[in-house]
Amino acid sequence: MFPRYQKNSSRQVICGKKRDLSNNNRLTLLFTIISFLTFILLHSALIGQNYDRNLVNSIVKKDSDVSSDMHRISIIQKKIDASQQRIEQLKSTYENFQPKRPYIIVNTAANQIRVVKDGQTIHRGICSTGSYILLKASGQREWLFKTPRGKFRVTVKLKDPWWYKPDWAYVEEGLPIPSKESRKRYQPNVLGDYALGFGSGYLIHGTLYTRQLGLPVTHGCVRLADEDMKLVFDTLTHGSHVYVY
Amino acid sequence: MKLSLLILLLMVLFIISFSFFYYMELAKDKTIHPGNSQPLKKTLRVESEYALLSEELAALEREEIFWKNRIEIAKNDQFNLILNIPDSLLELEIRGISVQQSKIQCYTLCPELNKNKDKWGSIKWLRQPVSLREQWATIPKRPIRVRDISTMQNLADSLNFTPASDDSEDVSIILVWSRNLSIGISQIKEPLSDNPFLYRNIEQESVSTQSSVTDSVRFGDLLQKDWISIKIRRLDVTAIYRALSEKSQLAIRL
Repeated sequence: MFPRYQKNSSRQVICGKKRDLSNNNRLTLLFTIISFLTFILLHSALIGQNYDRNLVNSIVKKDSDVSSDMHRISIIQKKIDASQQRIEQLKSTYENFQPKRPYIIVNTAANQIRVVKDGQTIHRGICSTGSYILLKASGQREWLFKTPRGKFRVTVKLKDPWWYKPDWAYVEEGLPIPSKESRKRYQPNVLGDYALGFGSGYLIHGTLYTRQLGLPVTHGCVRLADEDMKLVFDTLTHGSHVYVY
Repeated sequence: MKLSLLILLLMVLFIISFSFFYYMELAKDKTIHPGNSQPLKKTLRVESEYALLSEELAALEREEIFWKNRIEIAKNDQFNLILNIPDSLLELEIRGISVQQSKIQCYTLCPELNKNKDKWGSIKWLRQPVSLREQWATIPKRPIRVRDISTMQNLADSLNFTPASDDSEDVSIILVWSRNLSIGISQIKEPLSDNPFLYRNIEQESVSTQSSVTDSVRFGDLLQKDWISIKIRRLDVTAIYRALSEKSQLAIRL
C-alpha cells in the first residue's frame, strides 16, 4: 500500500506541479497581453497620437534626406541658370540674322508693304503686285505676270526712271512689236518719280494708277503710291533686303 | 506568483524604458515632435519647390530647343513656319526674318499632344525641325488666270479682261509634316463691325473648325498620329500657303 500511496502521492505532486506551471503560463500570458496593451498606450501617448508612424515615415525624411533634396534643388537651379544663359545666347545668335540695313517686306496676298528699320516697322502701306495672269499670244508665246517670292536685294536705285516697254506690253495692246533697240520702247513718266530694282528686271516703283493700289494687277512689279515710294526710296539703300511673300 | 509579478514588473520597466528612448530618438530627429510640424512643412515645401523647378527646367529646355530649331531653319533660303503655341503666334519666316506674324485666334491639339506637351517626352519629339511633306488647300497654290490674246476678238476685249475671283470663300489648308504631324490652318470669321460677342463667336466657330479639320485629315486618309488645328485671319492663311515651298520646315513650341 505504502509504495502505491507513495507512488500516488508522487503522481499527485507531479500533477500538482503541472497545474502550478499551467497557472503560471496563464498568468504570464495575461501579463504579456497587459504589457503589450500598456506598450501600445504608452507608445501612442508618447509619439503624439497624430502621426501614424508608417505614414510619417513615407512623407517625412530625415535631415540627411532633406539636405539631399536641397542638393538636388541646387543642381536643378544651376541647370536652370545655365539653360537661361544658353537661351539668351541663342536669341542673340538669331538676332544676328537681322539685316543691319533697313528692309522692305511685300505681302502679295494682301498687297501690303512694311518698311523696317532697326528692327522697328517705320511704315506700312498698300501696293499692287503681280496679277498672276498668264498671257498667251500667237506663236506659243506666253508670259506669267507674277511677283517673284523670296529674298532679294536692291540692285539699282533710279530717280525719274524710264520704262523699257517689253514685248508683252505690245502684245497686250495688240500693237506690232518693235525691235529690241528701238527708241520707242523707252517711255518716261510711267514708273513714277522713283524706282528700286530687285533683280531680273523687277522694280518697286510709283504709279499713275493709284485707284488700283491694294489689288493684284501688275505685270510683276510692285507698285506704290508716290509718297510711299519716296519714303522707301529714301530709306532703302543699295543691297537692302526685299522680302516678298 | 511572486515570479510572475517580477516578470510583469520587469516587462513594464522594459516597455517604459523602450518607449522613452524611442521617443527621445524621434525627438532628436526633429522630424516629428508633438505640436511642432515645421520640419514636415519644410520637407513638403522642398518637395513642391523641386517639382516647380523641374517644370521650369523642362519649359526652358523646350524653349532652348525651339530657338535652336529657329536658327536651324533660318539657315535655309525658303519660307518656313514657326508655330509658337504659348505665345499664340504663327510666323512665316525667311532667313530669320519674320515677315508675317499671325495671331492664333484659337487652336486645338490632338489628345496625344495635349497630354504630353508639358512632359519631358515632348522635348525629344521636338528636338529637330519637321519638314513639309504634303499640302492640301481650298485655294490654288498659284492663282493663275489665263488670258489668251489670240482668241480675243478685238482690243476692247483684251483690255476689258476681268478675270473672276479665284479664291474660295472658305480658306483652309492642311500641311502634312514629317514625324506624323498634320497642321490644319483655317480662317477665322472676320468681324464685320464692332461686335461685342465676337469672342463668343470665335469660340463657337472653333468647335466647328476643329471637327472640320479633323474630318479633313481623316477624309484625306492621312491618319497622322498628331495633329494641330489653328485658326488665323483669312489673308494670313492664303499668304502662308502660297509662300510655303516643298522644302519648307517648321519649328514648333508647345
